[in-house]
Amino acid sequence: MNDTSSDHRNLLGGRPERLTVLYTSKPGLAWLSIKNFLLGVITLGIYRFWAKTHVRRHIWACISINGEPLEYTGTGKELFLGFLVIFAIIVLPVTVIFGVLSVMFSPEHPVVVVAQLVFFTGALMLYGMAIYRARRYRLSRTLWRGIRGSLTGSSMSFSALYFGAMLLRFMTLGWSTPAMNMNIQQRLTRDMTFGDQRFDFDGRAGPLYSVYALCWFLTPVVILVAVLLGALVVAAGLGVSIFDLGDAFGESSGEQTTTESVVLVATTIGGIVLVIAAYGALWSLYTARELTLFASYTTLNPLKFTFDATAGSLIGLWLGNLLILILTIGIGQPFIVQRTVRYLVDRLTVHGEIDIDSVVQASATLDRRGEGLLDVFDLDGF
Amino acid sequence: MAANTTNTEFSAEFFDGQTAASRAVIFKIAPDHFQVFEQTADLVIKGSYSGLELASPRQAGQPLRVKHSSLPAARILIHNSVAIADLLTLAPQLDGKVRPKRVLKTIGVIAAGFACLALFGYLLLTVAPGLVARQIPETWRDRLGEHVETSVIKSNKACSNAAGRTALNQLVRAVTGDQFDDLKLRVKVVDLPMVNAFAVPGGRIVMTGKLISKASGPDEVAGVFAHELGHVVLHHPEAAFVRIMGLQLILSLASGGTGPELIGNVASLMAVLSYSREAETQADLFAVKQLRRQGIGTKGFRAFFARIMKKDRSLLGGSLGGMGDILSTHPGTEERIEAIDPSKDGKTRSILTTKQWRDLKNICK
Repeated sequence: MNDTSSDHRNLLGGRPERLTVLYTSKPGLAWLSIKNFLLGVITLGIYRFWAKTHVRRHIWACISINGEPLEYTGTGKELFLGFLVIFAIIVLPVTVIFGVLSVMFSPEHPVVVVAQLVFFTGALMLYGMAIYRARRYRLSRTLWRGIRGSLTGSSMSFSALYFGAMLLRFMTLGWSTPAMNMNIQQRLTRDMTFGDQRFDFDGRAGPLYSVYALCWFLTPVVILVAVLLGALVVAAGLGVSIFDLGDAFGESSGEQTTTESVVLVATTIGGIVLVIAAYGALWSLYTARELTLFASYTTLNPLKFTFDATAGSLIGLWLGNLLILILTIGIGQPFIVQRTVRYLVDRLTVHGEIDIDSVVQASATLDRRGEGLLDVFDLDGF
Repeated sequence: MAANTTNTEFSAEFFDGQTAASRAVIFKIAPDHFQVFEQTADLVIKGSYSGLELASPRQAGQPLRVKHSSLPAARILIHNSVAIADLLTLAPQLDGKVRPKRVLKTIGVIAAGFACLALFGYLLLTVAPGLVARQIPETWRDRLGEHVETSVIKSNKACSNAAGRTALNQLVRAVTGDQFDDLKLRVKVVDLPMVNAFAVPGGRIVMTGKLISKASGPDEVAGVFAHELGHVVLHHPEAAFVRIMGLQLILSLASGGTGPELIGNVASLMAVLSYSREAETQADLFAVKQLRRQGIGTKGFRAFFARIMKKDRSLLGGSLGGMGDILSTHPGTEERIEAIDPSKDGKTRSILTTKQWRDLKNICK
């Protein structure tokens, strides 16, 4: 019965379907990583735009919705041109201005301090714009069944919201974070479309506050414990090293002090890593809650979403990514992207049914250049 | 027409780029073109094989996804493996393999990019500094010089013995004559335990106390001073500063970072960079010309230079390398020494009295 109806479906109406999102890894990412690294070295880093593009093309093709993969249509040239524009209108003038200022005034001169403040504030204000524009570029270069995504709002007003959130966060000692994160996410989601279908986001930040309060009050405790543990390790490390050295070399005070300082530096770094890890682990409780809640607030009429994030899985994701980064000295970055995207895709469930055939391409014009600002700020995840 | 070139038809899937609807279509392979028809026999695309391109990387177990240049938003999905094989013989670019031609093109683009970058870098580092250096206003030069000077001298004091200062002024006057008043020269002797001299922006010249004490006559100090004067007159210190700024721009181009955090300590950076050999040779030429014009023998200049370079390298202070350093250890030092030919000097005079020379020697006491 259904078969006959699908055979006779017209152009703007098919059968509502459930959506299943899958990540299927494909071979070739290791070779791509090595190739990108080598070409990056040869071209003194300029290749990074093409490297990024090739990684995205690979990863996008691994994500499929109902069997049809995503397609990334961005090019390295677009990213490069975007960077050149930002280089010409921001990096170049700023470098020249600071060069001239350093000629005219001493480093502590009020004019230099004010200029640095202005630059710093300006950079913070542009940060949100960079995030928004990069997301817009990526969405507009993402195709599923020939239909593009888009982000339709003003990057300027988003930037203001983002900057305001940063200020508020600072002024409220962080307590505005859940509410402002929700505002930011709402803005980004409501501006997002797939073809002519607009995403929506509705909910309150209230449910985030219990876990936020837990993390906030536990932060000093966790840091204190980590520091104490670190100090213990440092002390133990020093004791052990002196003991070992006495055994191996007898009395050689010069050697002892250098070894001592090496141990000291190593354990101090270890201690700092411990503190950061403890902090990250604690706050992953909050991040997991936020991811889950925000997904449940998101709709693409009539579709609803759930995301199954847990603190443990987030810590696993971060630790794994960190290990890859360290063990491959950064060459394995594409695998970090893959792991992160896979985490997002695997834990996302789409509920409800949609008539895919009725989705129409939006007529929004495309940016011709990509992501320049984001490259300058270097906050690019993938 | 041979059997294998007759038209063949396969079913395929089509996305028109306007809606997300998947449409079942018929893909018709002809020898020199292909056609895509709706089930209703309406033609959707007709095109050449050369205009076909992979829309997504090829993947085992997945349909071939292609697009055509005449309808770039549309996607054609071919599931039938026989059709894929047929299409690959007619449009071999769809196999997704790396083509030597493409590799060559990529290498060509990289090479061309490098040529541009090299040209840009060359202009920024060699041509631009000289041009820009002359345009830097005097007040800026002066302040820059002050920073550089303090960053090199640090807390070491300038020698200020009154009689010594008078003798130094006498020596400076002897070399400059009544020229260069517009340069606002400021010459200092600083009590540093190394033999060295350098010029910084804004007409500042610093010689070390040890250089004065190692010199065996006023002509030797005059030669060193004349060389540094050459750097000042030729704007070399200012050009070096502009060159560093250019270098930072190139670095930020490669790294994607912003400039200001790098430029913070220009002064100390500058102290590390040295002049090119051409700049040193130019300063030497200037020195010889100036010494002769003022009737000062170049023998001392040559002798001191040769002595320091050849015999007494241990006297060179490593930490003060670069920055108008008279003793820059570039290759070609031999030629530079040879280029100073005292036999071509005209009539020479003595510039300091024995007492004045003694005063100068004692400037740091």
